[in-house]
Amino acid sequence: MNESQPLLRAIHVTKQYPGPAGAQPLTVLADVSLQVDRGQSLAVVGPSGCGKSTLLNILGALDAPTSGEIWCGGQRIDDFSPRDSAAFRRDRLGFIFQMHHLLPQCTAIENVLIPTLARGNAARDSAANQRAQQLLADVGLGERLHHLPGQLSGGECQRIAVVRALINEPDVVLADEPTGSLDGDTAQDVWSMLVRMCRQRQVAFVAVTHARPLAEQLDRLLELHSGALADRGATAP
Amino acid sequence: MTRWRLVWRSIVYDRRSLLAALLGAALAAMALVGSLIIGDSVRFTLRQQAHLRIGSVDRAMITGDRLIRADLADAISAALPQTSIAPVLQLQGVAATADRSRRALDVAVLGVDERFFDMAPSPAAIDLQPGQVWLNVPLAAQLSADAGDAIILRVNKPSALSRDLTFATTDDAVLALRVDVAGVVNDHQFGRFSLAANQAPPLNAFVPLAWLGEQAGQSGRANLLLQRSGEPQPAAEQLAAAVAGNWSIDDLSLAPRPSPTDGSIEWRTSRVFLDGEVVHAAARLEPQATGLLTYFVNEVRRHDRSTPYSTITGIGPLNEGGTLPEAWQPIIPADLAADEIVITQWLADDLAASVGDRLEVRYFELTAGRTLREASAGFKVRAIIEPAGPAADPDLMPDIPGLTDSADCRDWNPGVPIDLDRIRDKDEQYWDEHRSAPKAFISLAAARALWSNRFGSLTAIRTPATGPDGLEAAALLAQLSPADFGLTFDPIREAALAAANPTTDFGGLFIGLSLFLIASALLLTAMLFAFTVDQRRRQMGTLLAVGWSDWMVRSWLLREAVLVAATGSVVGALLAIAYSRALLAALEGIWSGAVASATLELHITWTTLAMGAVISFVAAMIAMHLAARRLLKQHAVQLLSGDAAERAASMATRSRWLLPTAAMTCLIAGLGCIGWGVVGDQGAAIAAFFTSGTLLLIAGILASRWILTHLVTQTDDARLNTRLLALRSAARRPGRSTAAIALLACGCFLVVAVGLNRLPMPDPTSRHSGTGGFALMGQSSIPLLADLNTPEARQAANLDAELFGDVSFVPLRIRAGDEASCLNLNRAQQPRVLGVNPDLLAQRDAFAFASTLHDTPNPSPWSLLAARVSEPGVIPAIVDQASMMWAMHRSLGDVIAYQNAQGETVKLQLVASLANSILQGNLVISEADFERAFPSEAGHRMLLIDCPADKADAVSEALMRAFADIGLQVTPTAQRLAEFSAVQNTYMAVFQVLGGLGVLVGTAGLGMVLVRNVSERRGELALLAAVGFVPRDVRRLLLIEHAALLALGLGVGVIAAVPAVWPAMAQSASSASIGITLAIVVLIAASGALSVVLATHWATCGRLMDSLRRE
Repeated sequence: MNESQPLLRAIHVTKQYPGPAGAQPLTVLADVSLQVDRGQSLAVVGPSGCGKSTLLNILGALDAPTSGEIWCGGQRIDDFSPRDSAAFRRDRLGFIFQMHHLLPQCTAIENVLIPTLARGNAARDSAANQRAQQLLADVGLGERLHHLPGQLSGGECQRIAVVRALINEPDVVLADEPTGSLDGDTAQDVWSMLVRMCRQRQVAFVAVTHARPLAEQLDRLLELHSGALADRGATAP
Repeated sequence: MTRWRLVWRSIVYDRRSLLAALLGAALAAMALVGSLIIGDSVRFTLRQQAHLRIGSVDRAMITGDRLIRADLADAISAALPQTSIAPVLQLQGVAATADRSRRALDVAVLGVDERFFDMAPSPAAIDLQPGQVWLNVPLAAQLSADAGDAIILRVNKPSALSRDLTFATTDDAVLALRVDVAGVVNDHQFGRFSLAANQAPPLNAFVPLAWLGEQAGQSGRANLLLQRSGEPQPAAEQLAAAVAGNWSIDDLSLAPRPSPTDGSIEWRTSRVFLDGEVVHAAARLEPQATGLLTYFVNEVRRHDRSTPYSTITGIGPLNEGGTLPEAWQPIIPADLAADEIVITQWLADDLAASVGDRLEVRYFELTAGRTLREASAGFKVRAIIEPAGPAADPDLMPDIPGLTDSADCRDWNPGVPIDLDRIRDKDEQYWDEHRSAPKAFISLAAARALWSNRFGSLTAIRTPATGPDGLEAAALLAQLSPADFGLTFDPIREAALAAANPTTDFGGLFIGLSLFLIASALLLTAMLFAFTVDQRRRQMGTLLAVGWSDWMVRSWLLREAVLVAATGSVVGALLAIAYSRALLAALEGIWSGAVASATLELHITWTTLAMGAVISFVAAMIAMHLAARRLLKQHAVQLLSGDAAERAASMATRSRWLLPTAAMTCLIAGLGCIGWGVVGDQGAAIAAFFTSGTLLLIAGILASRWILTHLVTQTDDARLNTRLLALRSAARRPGRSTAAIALLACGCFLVVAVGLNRLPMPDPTSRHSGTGGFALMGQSSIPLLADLNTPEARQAANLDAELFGDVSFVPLRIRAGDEASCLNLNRAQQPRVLGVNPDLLAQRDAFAFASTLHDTPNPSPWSLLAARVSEPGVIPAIVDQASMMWAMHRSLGDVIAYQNAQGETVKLQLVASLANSILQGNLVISEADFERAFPSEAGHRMLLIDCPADKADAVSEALMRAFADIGLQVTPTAQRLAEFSAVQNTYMAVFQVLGGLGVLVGTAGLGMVLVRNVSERRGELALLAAVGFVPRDVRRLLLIEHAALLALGLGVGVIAAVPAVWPAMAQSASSASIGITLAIVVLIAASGALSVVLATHWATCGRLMDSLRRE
């Protein structure tokens, strides 16, 4: 990949959903363009239902735009086959959701290792295991490796979700309201930890959030309103 | 961490729901494998029984009424040293205790020696002594006889002379033997020996062969040769060659003797009429052979003078161009015309006849059955001769017991009625002087034209006694083939093994009967697995988001499904052992009607267990895949977003027109079918009403689905109340709710439709019912030779003239064979054949016909039996529809081949079928055809009896008393028909019970749906609690919601079943079957209600508010 190229680009992306019979389709994203550079962090804010999550799903190849293009490095990803999309997410993306979506039947470290299973036998790789332990230790869960999600607090679960997003050493982490289900202090802790870890690893970070104070802690702030994206420029350092 | 570890973790986490799914799979596997085990057990039992009944016998020569030398067995054994042959004299009869307190019908009395028991499954030394009998276990049990007890055996006395030959006396037809029981022969010792393929054990009595032959006047004779299988096994050709090399004219009951009157050798037979093959062979070998046909006539009349009871001989050269023996030439003119007669001087004197006078000869014709019809023929007197020389030979008359052996005319007792008052002193004197010497002679051609019959056309052949061309026995035999006389060994082992392959695949049958149970269990498995997968929606979405491919996610779920299905199948296969034991116990108990009271042995093989488990596994996998495939098709975003209610709303749009249109179409078609059923005939009505029920069921289920989807889109807030809220909740998952409704509806439909659709008992007095309108039917162990429609026969049997005044009989002949009805589990190889005078049934318009192959030439299809509708040489036959389809697996037009006792192939073509009748299990042909095809089967053994219903008991009792010696058993036809119907009705009962179990599983499924619905909505319910609903209100909401599903399911099923059962209800549904069906429906409703109540209680217990907090 050419280092000078933007890591992730959305070019004139539109997303429409079919409306009830006879009605006009519902436009969620209208001609949205953005780009994310390597190691850059970017927040998208906007009111509920404005299309933030849809944008994130399209950027993460979980959904396809109605029109427009998505590029990652030199690869156009919006026309990937399901198999290529999965490989793309496995190798280059990390996802964090509002709910942690940990597998309740798996321990903390097992949940972290879940993405490595997508690489075949990588889960048996002691390097992956060591990396998972290290990452969990980095987020303060070194003593909680073998706890089940049900035995952990919401903040701890979300930290595990953060580690899970980073385990495959992605180029970019996409986070959909990653602290939305947490109380204020915990939300700030998790947010800070997430930003720190991405910066340390030069991983680009794109987050959608309602929390403007948290959003302003990132490099850039974009505002989505009625499907249109407005660049609010760089945030204060 | 590995994917298998993840699978294991997931299984442990969701163990409850997966365990329930596993139990569903196990239940399905248990029902499936259990059914296969039943099939195996039936096959195994029949094979075991086949082995027990034929032991190590490989082939058998069954000679019917032809009694061969028992020594033939020794001769064949000597010719084939490795081969053992056992001679048997098998006579059918009845057995009774000495005090007549107990009686057994249809007993096979077997004259055997030690060679027979050497062929037993477990050879044993049975000490056979004259005057003693060994009984098999069932016969000993029936007579309650033990060693030392005396019993009476009455058997059909064997005779070379057919009992159907009307001249033959019937007085000695039954032989009574008083014997002492020596012991009991068990099944392995050959107690079960039988050549008929039927699971009902035979009743066998074993006596010494030589002793039985002596008692029956047939010393050294046998009518059955058994060949033991061994190594090396002789080929059929070798056996045939051994027979051909060792048989003798004695085996053909042929006895040459010198004629003292004309110096020739006379070939005559104790069977009276010579076999056609013998005649042809003699004609070929001896150009100068003379044929003789001597007949007993009723009278010879000239005007008003008549001579009663005389013999007349037809004589002539056997070959065209041949001449009479020299001694005869002066007596019989060479050019004697067919209408000319040569009479003795005695007859001429008696009739005052002279040459040129016309005489009338009256005689009894040998017509179909033993019915006598007097016929006459006119002759012109050609010559009058002195009764001397060959013309005065009393041996011209064949030996007829009761006639030729009588010392005096008044002692005559032949089979034909003799008016002794007509016998004059001069007749007595003639008998004293000339015995049975003929009083007249006609040409052989004329005699054959008048008196040829199914037994033959010559009573003797005379051949020159001297000279190199003299006919010798060896030369005659060389011209004949044993096969022409039925003296061939048939492969009975092969037939027995073929018969042991049951007509009905009980494995398949029980799978069919358990189908609803299996389907319910699989549906439960699928539903529970789908619940589990549904619970994992977000997990699946997460995995897809973190880079798992679709295939990897599917593989994760697939592995769990494989473990659930595999474990369930194995557990089910093991449970099936107990399940099949229970089924077998039921088949020997309350469901014994389904297997005609056969005793079945449990037979389990690893192959069946493995095969059943694999099939169950595949079925469970398919069910789970079908249930989960919708979720597996969803994208990560959909999976992560969660709720399914939106999908119902979107589907509602699609279903707005489709569902109501489809439901309405089915409803209209269903109502149309009802109309068709009302105006159509009876057969069409049943199909129409059942189709209508099925269409209404589909309409109901579609309408339910439409109502549910309609409720989802109901947005009239002004009408919102608790009930509507509950109904909307029921509609939230329309697919899930419809599945529960469909399961209950289909179950109820099947239970009600099957429960009330038992075979109705028709009006037994109706000619078109299965009884043919006959009140009674009788069957005897020994043939009945008299025609009970005649006053003479009734008088002879001491039947009360008043009681029997309005009673009439339709007699039927029986050619023994395999019972081809649903009462026989074995595959009938050669179904039993009945011979009946079709006019007797046509006149009564008896029985209803299901179908005919040809257009009926006159109003009654019975006339097809007499019409030459089949190819030349092929006999038309009528068969019961059920026997044809299920027991014989044949259709109209098919031809079934038999071999008669003469070794001829007899072909029967099925030309019409009867609807559910008492004649099930048999092929019915005309009596005339029967007599031609099976001439050795004398007399009638079956009677259809017409009598007023109020007399039936008295008539039945009187007949059984009068004919106790021949073992006549009289049964009400309604009872016989009920026995046949019992098989089908028992299957329906089995289906109803197993279907009922399936519905119970379905109600459990409803409970699962409820629990699942509620657990998904605990937050929502907590919200209701938070806004002021008290727990009772929440429970009421849930009860209304799920009671609605229960009511819809039950209602749709029961209402749809009403037209399906209408014809049966309208005819004669018994209050018992209505009661049982209603009880099952109530049980289903109760179990459904219980599962709703329990699930509601379980779902609402605990602290609902906690759920709200977690939200």
